[in-house]
Amino acid sequence: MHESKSVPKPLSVEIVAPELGLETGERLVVSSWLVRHGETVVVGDRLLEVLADRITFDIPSPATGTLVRILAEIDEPILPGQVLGTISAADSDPDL
Amino acid sequence: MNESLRKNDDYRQCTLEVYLLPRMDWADVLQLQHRFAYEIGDDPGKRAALIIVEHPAIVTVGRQGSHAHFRIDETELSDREIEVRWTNRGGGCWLHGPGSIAVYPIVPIRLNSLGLTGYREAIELALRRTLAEFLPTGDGRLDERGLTVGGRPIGGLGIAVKNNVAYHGGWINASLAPKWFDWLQVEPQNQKPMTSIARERRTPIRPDGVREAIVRNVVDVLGFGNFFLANAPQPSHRTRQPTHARI
Repeated sequence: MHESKSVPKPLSVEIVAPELGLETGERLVVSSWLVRHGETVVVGDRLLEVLADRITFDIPSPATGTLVRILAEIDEPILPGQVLGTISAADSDPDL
Repeated sequence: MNESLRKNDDYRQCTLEVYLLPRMDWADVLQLQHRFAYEIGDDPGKRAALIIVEHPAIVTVGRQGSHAHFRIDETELSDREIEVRWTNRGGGCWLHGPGSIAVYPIVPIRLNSLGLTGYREAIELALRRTLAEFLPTGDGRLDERGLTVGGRPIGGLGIAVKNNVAYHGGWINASLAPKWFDWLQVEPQNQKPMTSIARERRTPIRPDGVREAIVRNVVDVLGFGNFFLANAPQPSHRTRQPTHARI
């Protein structure tokens, strides 16, 4: 009988727009993606920038992995809690 | 924006280091802001910094600025030896030069307390109070809202937040010469030319007095528990030729 070796499964981690303490109804848009689709990131890296009235805010990557999905384009209005994209993160190997 | 800021105690335990710098290149000061933001991000709630400085002639363009806001072409900009830098802050185009005071608070932000809106309003309020101390009460007084006099911008805001630490900030035009005013739209939604405190008062203004008032109002509005005047940091190792504007 063959012993099956476990293969790390990719995990999907959602990039969620944070609650920024904006006034109700204040417009918030994506102003820049700082990482391109398919590029790898490390948790905490600057991932995208959002813009409210005269103030930009950098959203860090929630995981180490690859940016596989962008769901909010530049200048698109967004809301806190909205999913903006997805990072595909490999299972971490505890031996590494 | 209300003249009274929402109540917060975010900075009561926080000490503000104030840097009143001599005229310095914009890029060197940006590097300093990044350094402070990095250090303050490691020690949030206890430390913040405020840089007040004038730059040699330069235009910085924020995320809400555009080429369309320039009323002279690139050749003329080049002839006047004015550098243009695109930045990651909010806001429009800022024209720096002698007499335009840049205000850079590097401050940790609690998103669930003051939040981005509260912080932006606080900086705007500090600049409004400063301007109100120097402007006349009749003609030439500060407008009811914003940083304008008779609709003409006299200050501006543009902030960036990284690792929950704010940097960049705003500017006040104390005494920049009027011949600078007409070729740049500094506010994205306001086509009127800039003005200055000196222009509205019709008398010369001492920028040191404006700097002192900015410090006092930032400390008061944000409610810092302590502040002190810090020594100017060591100069950058970068070597840059000084920029001399011919305006």
